[in-house]
Amino acid sequence: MGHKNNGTAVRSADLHAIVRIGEGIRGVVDTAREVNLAALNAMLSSRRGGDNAVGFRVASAELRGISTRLMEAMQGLTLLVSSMVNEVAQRQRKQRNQDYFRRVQDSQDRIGGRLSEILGKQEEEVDRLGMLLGQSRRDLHMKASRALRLCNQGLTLSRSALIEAAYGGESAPALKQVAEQLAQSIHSVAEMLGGVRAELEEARR
Amino acid sequence: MKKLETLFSEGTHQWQVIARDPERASALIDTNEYLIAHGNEAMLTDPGGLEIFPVVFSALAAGFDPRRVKWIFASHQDPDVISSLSLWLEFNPALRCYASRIWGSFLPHYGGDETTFIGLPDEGGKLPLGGIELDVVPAHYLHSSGNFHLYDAKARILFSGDVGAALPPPEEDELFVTDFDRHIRHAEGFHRRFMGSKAAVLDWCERAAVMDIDMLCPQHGSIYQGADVMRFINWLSELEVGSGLWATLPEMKKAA
Repeated sequence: MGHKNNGTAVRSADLHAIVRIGEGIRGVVDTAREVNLAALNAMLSSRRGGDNAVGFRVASAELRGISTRLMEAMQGLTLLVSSMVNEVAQRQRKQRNQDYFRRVQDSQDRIGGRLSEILGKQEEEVDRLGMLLGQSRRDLHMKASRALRLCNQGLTLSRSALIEAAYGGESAPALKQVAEQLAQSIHSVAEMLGGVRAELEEARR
Repeated sequence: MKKLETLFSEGTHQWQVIARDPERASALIDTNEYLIAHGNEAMLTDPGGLEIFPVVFSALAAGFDPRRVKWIFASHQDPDVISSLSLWLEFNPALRCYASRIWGSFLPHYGGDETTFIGLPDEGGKLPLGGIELDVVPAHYLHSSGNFHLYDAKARILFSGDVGAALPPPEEDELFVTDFDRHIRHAEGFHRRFMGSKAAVLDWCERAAVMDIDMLCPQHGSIYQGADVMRFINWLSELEVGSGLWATLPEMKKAA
């Protein structure tokens, strides 16, 4: 009665993994917002650099675009995570019901056929939800990989911004500082996204 | 393991109780589930919580065909009363559940949909069962704000939900009350705390006192029979209830 089993722990691990992925995505959104602000700051700083800072301005504007696309990509990931929470919850409920029916002892074999039918249907439903969850995980992994590629473009751009900052004439030290901040922020985003993807790969095992 | 025991049997008309589970987890309150059968139909009262579903179902199936259970009667909305509903519905999706209509949008949190529930009006009424009728007896605020008991005039049995409930120690946990004074000590704290309204208590006592009752069957603890039924009604009518207020209104405790 009321026993906890390994199944409960495994099911709870599913939900914990999704929670960690959701937290990672929120972290990416926050940091991408920082990149966006840093890029805006860089664009404003580049105006003060005049013609010498045209290259820096272009790189900053591109970075700003990338951070906006990253935030949009994260919205898609958030929606996917919400639907995964729903799928995990439904599967947990089905599995729990299955546990209860497995514990029924039919000493008279009065309703054995009906119980087998119920357990069979529950098994099918658990399998279906498991497949749905697997598909959602694959979608999430694909989207996270796309976002990571976007992030890599951002890293390349932030390096270009650093190089362009050196041609900023009198504004070069200020532009360098802004470029370093940008590079740091985009690096953080890349790290967090890498963590989300690793979590997904772990969950798929 | 719980066991199905017969309380009343006359032709196809039967009352059985699924009671006493010595193996239940200590965190769970023990419950009594009553099966009322007539003709080809049966009704289960307060079928219990999710965790005890396997033992209740197993005990029922050991002595009765669970496919004959067409109705569930929920005295109120508590989890130990009806949180197993989704499992019963999984076994028989056509099952219908009677409960106070005020719980219409609360009970689906346990399972079921708009077709599952039959809302009972505050004044109670009659429930058909295989050709006979059972009386739905209002017991609001005892302890739930939408609360009903079920009376069977043919068997002279009143299912009284949490009224009459007791939490005796295992060594005194008998199916029937054998020593009223000893038993009622285990009911006192529960009734003082869970029953919040003296007016509701007296209203119920007046109604119950004029019924012809051989057995008063609570959801927890032992069943009262014979003279102990009226002893219980008298005891309850004199009990000061609402003890939760004593912490903030100590003068009420002194009065009690």
